[in-house]
Formats: sequence, C-alpha cells, structure tokens
Amino acid sequence: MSLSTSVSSDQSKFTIEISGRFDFNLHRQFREAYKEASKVEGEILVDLNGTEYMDSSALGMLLVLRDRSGGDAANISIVNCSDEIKKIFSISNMDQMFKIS
Amino acid sequence: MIRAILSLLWIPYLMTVGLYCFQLGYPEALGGPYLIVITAGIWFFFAINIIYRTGWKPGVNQTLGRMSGNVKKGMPGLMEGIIQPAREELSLIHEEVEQAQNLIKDAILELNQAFVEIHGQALDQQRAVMGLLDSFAQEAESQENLVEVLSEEESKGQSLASFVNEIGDLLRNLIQMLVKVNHQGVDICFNIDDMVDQFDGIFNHLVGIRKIADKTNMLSLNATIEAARAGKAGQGFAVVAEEVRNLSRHSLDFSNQIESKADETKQAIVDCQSIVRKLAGEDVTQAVEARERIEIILNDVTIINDTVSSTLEEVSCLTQSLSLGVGNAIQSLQFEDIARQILDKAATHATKLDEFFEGIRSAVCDSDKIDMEKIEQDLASLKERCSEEVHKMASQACVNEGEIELF
Repeated sequence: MSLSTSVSSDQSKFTIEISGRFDFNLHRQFREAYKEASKVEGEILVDLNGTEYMDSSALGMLLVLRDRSGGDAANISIVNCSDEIKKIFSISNMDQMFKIS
Repeated sequence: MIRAILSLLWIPYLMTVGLYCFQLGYPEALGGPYLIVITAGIWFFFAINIIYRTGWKPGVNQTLGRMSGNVKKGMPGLMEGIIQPAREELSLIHEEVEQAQNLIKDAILELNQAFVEIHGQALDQQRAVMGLLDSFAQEAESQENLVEVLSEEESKGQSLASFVNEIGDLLRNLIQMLVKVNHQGVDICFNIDDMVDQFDGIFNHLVGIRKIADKTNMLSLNATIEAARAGKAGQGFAVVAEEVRNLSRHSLDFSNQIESKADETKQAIVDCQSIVRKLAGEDVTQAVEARERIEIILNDVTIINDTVSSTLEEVSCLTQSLSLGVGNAIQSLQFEDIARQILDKAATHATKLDEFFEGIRSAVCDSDKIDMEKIEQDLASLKERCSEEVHKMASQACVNEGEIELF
C-alpha cells in the first residue's frame, strides 16, 4: 500500500501512482497529493498499475479529486486499470466521468 | 360289370366251337358256312371288347334318360343331401354379412365420434398454444419497451424478465447511491482532516500563549525581587509585580483549559471521521458481483423465453397438422358406405345362388322326371349373370376407390 506523485518536467502532467490496496487508509496521502495536484495546471494521471484492490472509499477519493480539480472541467485520466477495476468503474457509471484505460 | 360278363361270354363260345369241331372233324368243320359263323362270332366279341376299352359312351342325357328310371329313386335324396347343406351355408353367409355390416357400422360410428372429439381437442390445444404465443409476443414487446416505460407504474411486475430487469436497474441505482455516499463521505473526511489541521494550529498558538505566560511569570518574579531590593520605596511596585504574576498564572490556567477543550473537540472530530470512514470504506466487490449475477439471470431468462416461444410455435404447427389429419381421417371413414354397398352385393349374390339351388332342387325332387333342360337353362343364365356382375363390380370398384380419395 503506497502512493507516490510525480510532475512531468514541463509541469503539464501530474501523476499519482497507487500500488497495493487503494482504500481509506490512503486518505491522508491522497489528500496531500490532490493538494499538490491543484497547484499544477494540466492533466492529472492516476496510474493504477500496481493496484490490487479498491474499495468504495477509493471511488469517493477519485470523485473528490475530480471535484477539487474543477468538477466537469477536470481533466483526469485513470490508466492501467485491471479488468476487475474497469468493471467497478463501469457499474458505478464512473467511466462516464473519467477517461479510463 | 358288363365288360366282365362280356369277357367271360366268349370262353363258353370258344368251348362250344371247339366241341363242335371235334365232333364234325377238322376239315369239315372249317369249311363252308361254319367257318363264317365262327369268324363272325370271334369278330363280334373282339369288337365289343375294343368298344369298352376305348371308353366310348353314349350321351349323358341319353344315359341319364335311360337310367332315370333306375336312378330316379336315389336322386332326390342325393340332391337334397347336396343342396341342403349348401343352402344352410348360404344362409350363414347371409347372417355373417349382415353381422359384418352391423359391426362396421357401429365401429365407424364410434370411430367417427372419437375422431370428432380428437378434432375438437386439437382445436382447443391449438387455441391454448396460440394464446400462450400471444402472451409471449406481448412480453417480448414489453421487454423492448422496458427502458422507456420503467418509470410507469403499470409496467411493474408484468413478467419474470421485466422483474429481473427491474432488479438490475434498482441495483444499479443502489450502487450509484453508494458511490454518491462514498463521495460525500470522503469529502467530509477530507474536511475533517482540514479541521484537525486547524486544531493543530490552535495548539501551536496555545504553546505560544503558554510561553508568554511563563515569561510574564519570570518577569513578575524579577520585579518582586527588584522591589524588595528597593526597600520601602519599592513596596507598591512589589504589589503590582505580584498582581502581574497572578495574571500570568490565570493566563496559563486558561490556556490549559482551552487546550483540554480543543483536545476533546479534536478527539470527537477524529471519532466522527472514523465513523464516516466506516461508511465510505465499504467493499464494492459484492455489489459488482450481484450486478453481474443479475445480468446472467436476465440473459438466461431471455434464452428460456426464446426457447419456449419457438417450441410453442412448433407445437402449434404440429397441432394444426394433427387437426388436418383428423379431418382427413373423418372423411376417409366414409368408406363405410362403400363397404356396406359391397356387402349388400355379396348378400344379393348369395340370394341368387340360393335361388339357383332351389331351382335344381325343385327340378330334381318335385317332378317325376329330372328336367335336364331346365337345369341347363338355369346354369346358363346364372353363368351369364355372374359374368355381368363380375364385369360391373370390377368397374365399380375402380370408381369407388377413386371416390374415396376424392372425398
């Protein structure tokens, strides 16, 4: 369970990488991450490559990230999702709010 | 018998000729008219013998006529003996034909009734199947319109498929509601985090206040010491210093009280956060699985519906052909009419044969003499009629066969 952030050299892309379990225990780190993200103008990339499990608070955190990054105007992509996670996004209709791949 | 007598007659004749020759002496006996008589006798017996061997017989009529006088007495009994059983057999044939007619009639009647019932039942079955098919078609239609009419009250609880569909939609709504709750819960948690940060700021400020109070305390202590060194002139200043010291002590007390209250509040907020955390941190896997299962069930229901519908259509087709077959069978049962006609004819033939036998019997038994001409006439007319009938029947049978198929 870990969360790391990085900013591209041209400051146009902010990446949040999550590995292990993406659940409520990450909320403080996630809060710090989106506070940093709000400083960067441009695309926010959430990389779920190493994510094994996701609970409903993870969905809530992603939605809060979207709210704090401009709501409908937010430019957030969630990448490297496993099939299970894609299914969760699809059933919760979140695939219409984020760019999922 | 005649032949035996004739063949025995020429032995005594030859014996007589031999005895005669012996008495007269050989040369005399074979000369003159005697030779002619002997030769003629031999030729006579020889001829008769040949006639009987080649089987030549006089005309039957003449013989019968000749013999009628002798045989007449035995004939009526003989003829009676032949004709009586034949006539009895004929009357039996009559009865049996009648019996067969009745049997066929009854059987046909029952068969007809049974077929009519089957026909009715087949029609009922067809109606039932058509009803089912209609309901299935309606259901399929309602399924297509389900998305549009889901909000309408009347569409609720219409069929299994729509029921399952509705559950699926409810579950989807539930999941979305859950996501919304999570969203807001996480939002609250983040706000609480912000509040906790604010409280930490308050605690920092309280530390500052406490430092100031400590410093004030030290200052008042120093002032008290300086006042004591000043002696009497510093007595008033010592009082002020003491008051300042008291103030710093009060300030410290307040600061401690604020800290403890703030600490309690912070703890309460953290507790609140843990509650929200429990609310927001539910496992979504179960909801996802339930949603998947509902989709599988919906698919199964659709497949079952399709299968039942197509099977019902097959049954409907079968019932239609069954109904048609039963109709044909009922029409075919009209062969009874033809069978009855044929049996009637058989009965007529038997009657004619009976009449013929009666004719022979009367010709033989009722008059003193056998009327051979009448018998011959009867025979000829019977033969003629028979051939006519056979011809007629053959042509009729063909026509009737055709009619059966045409019914």
